Amino acid sequence: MVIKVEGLVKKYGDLVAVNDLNLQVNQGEVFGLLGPNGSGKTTTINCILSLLSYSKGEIQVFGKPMAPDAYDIKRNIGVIMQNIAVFDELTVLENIDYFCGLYINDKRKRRNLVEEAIEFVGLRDYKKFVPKELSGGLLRRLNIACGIAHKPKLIILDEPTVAVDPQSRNNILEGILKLNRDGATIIYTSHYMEEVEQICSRICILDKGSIIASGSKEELKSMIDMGEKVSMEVFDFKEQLLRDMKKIPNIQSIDYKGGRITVKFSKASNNLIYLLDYLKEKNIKFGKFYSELPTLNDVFLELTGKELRD
Amino acid sequence: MSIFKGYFKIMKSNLPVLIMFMVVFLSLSVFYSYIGTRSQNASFEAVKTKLAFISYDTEKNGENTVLVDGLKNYISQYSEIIPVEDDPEKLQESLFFKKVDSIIRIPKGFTEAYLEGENPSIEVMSIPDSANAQYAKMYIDRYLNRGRLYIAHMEEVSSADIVSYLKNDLSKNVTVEVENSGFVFNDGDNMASHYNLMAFYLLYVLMIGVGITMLAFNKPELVKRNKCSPISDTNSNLQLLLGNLTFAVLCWVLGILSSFALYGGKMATINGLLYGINSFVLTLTALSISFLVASNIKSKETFQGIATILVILMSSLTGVFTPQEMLGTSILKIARFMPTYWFVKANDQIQSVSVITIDGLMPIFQQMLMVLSFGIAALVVTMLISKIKESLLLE
Ligand SMILES: Nc1ncnc2c1ncn2[C@@H]1O[C@H](COP(=O)(O)OP(=O)(O)OP(=O)(O)O)[C@@H](O)[C@H]1O
Ligand SMILES: [Mg+2]
Repeated sequence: MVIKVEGLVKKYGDLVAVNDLNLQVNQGEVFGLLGPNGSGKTTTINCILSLLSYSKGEIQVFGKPMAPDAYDIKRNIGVIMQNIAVFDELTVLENIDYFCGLYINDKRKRRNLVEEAIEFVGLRDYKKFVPKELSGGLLRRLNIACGIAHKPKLIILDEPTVAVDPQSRNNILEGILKLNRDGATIIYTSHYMEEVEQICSRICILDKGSIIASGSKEELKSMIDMGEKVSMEVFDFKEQLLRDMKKIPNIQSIDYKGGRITVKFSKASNNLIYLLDYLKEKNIKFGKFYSELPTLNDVFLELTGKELRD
Repeated sequence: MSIFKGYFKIMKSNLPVLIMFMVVFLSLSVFYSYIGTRSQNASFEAVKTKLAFISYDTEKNGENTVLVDGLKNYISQYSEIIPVEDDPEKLQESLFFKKVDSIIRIPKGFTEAYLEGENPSIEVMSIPDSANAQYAKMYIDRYLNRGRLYIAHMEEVSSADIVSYLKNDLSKNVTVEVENSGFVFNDGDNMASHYNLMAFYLLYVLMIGVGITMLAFNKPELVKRNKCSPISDTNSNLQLLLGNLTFAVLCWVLGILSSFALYGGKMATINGLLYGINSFVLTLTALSISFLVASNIKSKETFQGIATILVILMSSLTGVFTPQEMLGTSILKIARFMPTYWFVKANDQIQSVSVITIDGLMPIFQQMLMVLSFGIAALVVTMLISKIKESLLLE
């Protein structure tokens, strides 16, 4: 077990930022911590890293108790903070070299690692640039390179894709998976459920400082009784038909708005066939037709009664 | 030593500003020494001090001793000697009505003690805050200090010899000074003003250099990020301290080198050594002060603003740019709360040192101690504040 957190409580004055939190991260996992803004992700990470003192709880990393002076543990952790932490005065190359130098003394070894990190995040053409001259996405990549250059066994990334364009985002997500394939255990926090779904093998959903569900994305989705969500364009539709449509098996809810019908099914097989049969029988003309499986957002909505992102 | 190296990589980005200040400092120093020599020559003519000269140190026949006579002759070149009756009331009166600027009283046995190598004092009463009176003291010091050189380095020298040497010596000096109305750097006064100006250079360069670099390391994100690394706080603080000290010493060495360039051989004297020590003490204090300011300010722009104001205040109020005698007493009262005041005072005293005596050096070291205590105070305050902040941060 790489990380074990038991009964963690962190208060800021009267505000309980993390409330009796338990979690475990296993060797080789990509562990996702998913939660809306202010749910306590960063606070949890900062406690794990001993950057914050906490009111209650126990934290072990690599099987040893974590403490501010647990330098042997820290040596094997790579940290990518939510707020970009680089020196404005140093170039891309100098920044990565500085942070790598905090872990690796050997000059030659470090030079290779730094080059590797630059290649890894695709900043080869920007080596001599200072942070001011980088775009938001490139800056995030630099932030990541600074955290991973020393090849840590455990990599903690706190919302590394905030305010990042799709191109850099994909580069970052693929990079994280590659680091994982190369043997690193990953902790990834985000409030983007798509990202977490895309890369995490196990996910904890956090709300108001407590974990409200955890498991693989399939497990999480199976926790809620929800099948497909269908959305279709209809022509010459008479609203009176809506009530009649509720007769279709397994329908949870149905809505009609702006020439578009949204149907939610509960978990069952052949849902779509029943729907299509009905449309054919009543001779309802329809255009574009989408069907999607439930997302983690639906899970969150079901569990908390609110959207993951507003 | 990653942090130590990082320190200097960040410092590199300050280089243009630092070079600029070195250039400003050197130009100012050259400029000041130029106007310095000129105005000094002018003041010799313009202000003739009015003095009463009373001596109790007489030979058996009632005449002044040879030495006292020599001193009187020397002083009379620069001042008008007014005969005043040796009566306490009359003397007070003549001071009060500004008949004289100063009254000089040579005590009995002065010559004998002086020839023995002791440091007998001469009583000088003056109108308060009179610049003329200061000149009188300066001439007396100059005469007696030169004389001590002969006593210290020649065996069995008689007072008559000394007087004739000094006559030769000091009159030569006068002619040299007159010739100096051009552009020559061989006057000790210029060296003092060079070192006074060095306060401006040291303060600015250390403020900007150390401040901007420490500001970079003190950014909250970077403090946090560094705490994630396997380098302990103690270790990283030590590396930063080493970086700061190295940088400070480098700046000081550059300052000293500049005075070698301008004054060459003069640096290899006791005065040169004392100037060196004094400026080094100020270097440490300036480092400590910039550390204090930098640890408590977040934005670069605010820091630069505050640093500029501080340096200009500390320089202009304490006699870095203008002689302290020319500043008003009320300004000097405030100036005492700034280290540069004591630094300049020490430089001015170093200027008149020509022989090493404990009595002569003591006041200089006392000023240095004052300068240093400002540095220590700043350091203590910095540490206290950081302790308080640390405990708040972890909450
Ligand atoms: N230094 C602090 N002092 C007081 N309250 C704080 C502090 N830091 C965080 N909080 C509060 O603690 C709660 C959790 O904050 P945290 O930063 O951990 O959330 P998060 O999940 O990381 O959010 P985000 O997605 O916005 O980064 C929030 O309500 C926040 O307002
Ligand atoms: Mg956060």
